[in-house]
Amino acid sequence: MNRNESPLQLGDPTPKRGTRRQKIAAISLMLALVLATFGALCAASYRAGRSIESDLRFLEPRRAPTLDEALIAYPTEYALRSNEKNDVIFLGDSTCRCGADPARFEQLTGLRAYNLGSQGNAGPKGFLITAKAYLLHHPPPQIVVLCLSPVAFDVGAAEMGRRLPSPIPTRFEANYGPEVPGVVPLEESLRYFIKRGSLSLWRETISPAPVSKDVRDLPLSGLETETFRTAQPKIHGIRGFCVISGVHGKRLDVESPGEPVRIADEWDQSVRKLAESCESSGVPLLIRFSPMPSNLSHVKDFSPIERWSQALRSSYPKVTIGRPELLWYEWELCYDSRHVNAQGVAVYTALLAKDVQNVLSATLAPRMEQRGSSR
Amino acid sequence: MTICSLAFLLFCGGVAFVFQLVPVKWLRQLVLSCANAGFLVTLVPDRRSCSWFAIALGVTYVALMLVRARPRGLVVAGAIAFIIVLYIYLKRFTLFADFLPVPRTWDIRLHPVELVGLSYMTFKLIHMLVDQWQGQLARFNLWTYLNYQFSFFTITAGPIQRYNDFLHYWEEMDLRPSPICESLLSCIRMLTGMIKIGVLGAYAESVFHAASYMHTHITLGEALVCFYVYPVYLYFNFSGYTDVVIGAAGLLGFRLPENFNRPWLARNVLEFWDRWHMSLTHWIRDYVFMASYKVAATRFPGGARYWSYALLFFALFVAGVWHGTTDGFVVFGVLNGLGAAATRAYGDVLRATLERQRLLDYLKNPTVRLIAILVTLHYVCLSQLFFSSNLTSALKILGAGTSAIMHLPATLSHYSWQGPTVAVGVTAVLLFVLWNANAVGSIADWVTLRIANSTGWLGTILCLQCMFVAGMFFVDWTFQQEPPPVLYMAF
Repeated sequence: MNRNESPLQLGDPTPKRGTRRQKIAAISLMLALVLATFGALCAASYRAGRSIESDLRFLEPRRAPTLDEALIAYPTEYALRSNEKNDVIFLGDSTCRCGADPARFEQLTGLRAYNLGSQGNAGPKGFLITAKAYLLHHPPPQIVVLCLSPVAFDVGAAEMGRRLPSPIPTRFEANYGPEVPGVVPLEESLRYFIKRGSLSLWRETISPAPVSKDVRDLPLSGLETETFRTAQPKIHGIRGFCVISGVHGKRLDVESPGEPVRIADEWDQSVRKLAESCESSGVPLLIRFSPMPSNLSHVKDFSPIERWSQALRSSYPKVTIGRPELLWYEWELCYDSRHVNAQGVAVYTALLAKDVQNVLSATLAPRMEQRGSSR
Repeated sequence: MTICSLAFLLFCGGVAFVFQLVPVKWLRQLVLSCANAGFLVTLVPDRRSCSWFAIALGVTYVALMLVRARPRGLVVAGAIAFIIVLYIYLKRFTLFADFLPVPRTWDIRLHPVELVGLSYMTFKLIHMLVDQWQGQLARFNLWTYLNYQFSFFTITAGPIQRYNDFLHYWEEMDLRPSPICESLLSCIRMLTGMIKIGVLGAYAESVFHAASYMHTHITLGEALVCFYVYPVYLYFNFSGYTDVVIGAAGLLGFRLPENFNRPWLARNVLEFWDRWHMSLTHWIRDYVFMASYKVAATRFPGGARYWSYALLFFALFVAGVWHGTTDGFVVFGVLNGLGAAATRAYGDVLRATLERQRLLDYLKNPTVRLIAILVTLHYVCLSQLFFSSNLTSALKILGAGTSAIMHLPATLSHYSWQGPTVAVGVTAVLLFVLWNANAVGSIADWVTLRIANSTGWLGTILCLQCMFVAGMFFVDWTFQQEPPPVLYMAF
C-alpha cells in the first residue's frame, strides 16, 4: 500500500456499493451511541448523587469538613429534616448565630425560637434557601427575623467563591437549592449532582484506593474535639445559638475602610425574595442589622444601608426594618468588629425581643380588630 | 465552537445526516453553505471582527476578479502584496506597531479582532490568484469562492485544500453511492482525532506543562520531558484535528488532503516537512520555493544549486515564522531552514561522490537509516523546543539538560533505579520498532486493510470509540473543563 494514502482510501478495489440509507445508519449509530452513553453516564451519576444524604453531598468527599462548613450545613439540615414548631426563627450570618440567644429570647417573650443563623460564607442565597426550606417543612412561625451585619452585603457569591479555598456558596446553592423551588437554575444543580455522583461512583467502583471513612465522622477541621455528627445534636440542643467564648477577639477592622458600604445585587435580590416568600406564607419579616463597635461608625460610609432600607420599605410595606438601622455598641459589648460577646448577646437579644413584640402587636392588632368587626 | 467537543460532533453528525437525506445537488450545496455560515458565526464573536472578515473577503474577491480580467504579473503581485499587508496588519500587528506610528483608532491592540482562519484563507487566496494568473484555476464565482473559503472542514486550521479539488467535490456532491465501510471509517477517523486531541494530546500537554513550569532548578528528567514530550503533544493535537476534519468531510463525501504521514520516520529535515503539515509544506513548495527558484534559476543559471540552498532556507524559515513572530519562532524557522538547506547540500555531495549503485546501497542500509531517523528526530525535537516557549526558557531547558548529561554519573545518583530503567526499556522498544520499521509498517498496513474491509470490525471499533469519546465529553462537561483547543487555530 502506498503510505501516502489515508485509511479512507484503503479497501477492496471493487468494494460493495452502499446506499444512502446505510450512510445515514452509520451517522445515526455514531450520534446515538455517543448521546446514549453520555446520557447514561449523566443519569447514573445523577442518581448516585441524589442518593447521597444532603449533608454528606455538601461536604467535600476527600477531606474532613471544616467548622465553617458544619455551621453552614446544620441550620439547613434542621430546616429540611425537622418539623418542630417554633414561634420565631432567626436567620442570617454569623452575627445572627452568635448574637441572638433563643433561650434568653424565650425567657423575655415567652415565644419559642430557633436560631438558623449560618455564616456569611454561605452566600447571598444561603439564608433564603434555609428560610424557604423551613417554611416548606415546618408549621409557619409567627415571625421571621433576619439578622445580618451591615457589612455583609459587600461580596457576591462568585467573588466569595474566588476568595474561599473551596467554593462554598456554589456548593451550598447547588446542593441545597434544588430542595426548595425557584432558587437555583436547573443546569447548575444538575451538574452538581452529576459531579458529586460521578465522584462517588468512581470511588466506590473504579478507584483502586480503599473507600475512606465517612467524612462526617472525621474530626472537624478547626474544632478537632468534635466531628460533624457529634457537634450537630449539641448545636441543636442550644437551638442553633453559638456564643463566642472570651471577651474580645482579634479582628478589629472592616474591609475597604473609607469607602461606602456596597450592597451587591445578589444580596438585594435574595432579601427581596425572602420578603416575597414570607408575604406569601403570611408571616411577617423583621430585618435587624447586627450591632458594630461604635469606634467603627466613622470608618466607612454606612449611608447606603439606610437608603437601601428605605427603598425596601417602600417596595414591601409589610417588611419591618428595626430602627435605628445601625446599632453602635460600646467596645465592652463587642467581641470583634462584627460579633458581640456574651454581654452584648444579652443586650442584643433584649432588643430583638422588644422589636419582635412591637411587630407582633402591630400585626396582631389589626387582625383582632378585623375579627371583632366581623363578629 | 471547539473542534474536540460534543457540540462539534453533533454539528457534523447533524449536517451529514441532513446532507444525506437531501437527494438533489443544489439542495446539498445549500445545506453545506448553511453549515459553513453557521460554523462561521460561532467563530466570529462580535460585529467588529465580522466587519473585518467581510472587508478581507470583499477586497480579496475584487482582487481575484481583477486578476481574472487582467491576468498580468503586476496585478497579481499587487494583489498578493495587499493580502499580505492585510494579513500582517490583522494577525501580526504587534510586531510592527512598536516601530510604526499607528492612529489609536487603527490600533489592533486597543481594539482586538478575532479572525480565526485568516492565515488559511490567505494561503487559499494566494493559491487562487497565482493559479488564475497561470490559467490553471477552474471557474469560480462568489458562491463557490465563499464556500471554498468558509468550508467548515478547513477554515480553522486547514488542511489547505486546492480550489480545483474543492470544486470537484462541490460539483459532484457525493451523489454516487459509496461503500458503507467508508462511512464507518469516516466516523472512526473523526472520533480517533477527538481522542488524540482530548486524551493523548491533553495528557502530553499536562506532562509538558508540569515539567516546564518555571523551576529554579530543572532536573535532567524535566529537561528530557520538555525535549521529547512537546513534539508528541503537537503531533497528537494537530494530527487529531486533521483526523477530525478529514473524517467530518468524509461523511459528506469530500476528500481533504492529508497533513501527516508518519513524520517521525523521516530520515532528514526535508522529508520530515514532506510528512508533517504536508498541505502547508506543499503550498510553500509551490508558491514560495518553486516560484522564487524559477526566477533565480532563469536569471542565474550558473548558481542555481546555491540559490536552491538559499531559497530552501528561506522557504522553511517562512514556514517557521508564519507560526509566530516571537524570538522562539524565529529560531524555529532558522533551525528548519538550516536543516533543509544542509539536507539538500548533503544529498548533492552524496550524489557527486557515490556512484548510483553505492548510493542506493547507502540509502537502503538499515543502520544508516536508523541513524538518519534518530538524528532527524532529535533535530526536530530541538527545533520544536523553541516552538514551545520563548528563547530564554528554551535555552534554560537546554542548558540544564546539557549540564546534567555532562555530569551524568552524579545526575543519575539522584534518581532511583526505576526511572533510568524505564527510560532505557522504552528506548530499546522504540529502537527495535525503528530497526524493523518496514516489517512493523507492513503488519500495521495488513491489519488496517483487514479491518477496513470488515463492516463487523469497523462497527465494533466505532461502538467502543463512541463510548470512550462520550466518557471523555462527560468528564469535561461535569468538571467544567474547557475542551482542549487546537493549537494551530491560533496561527
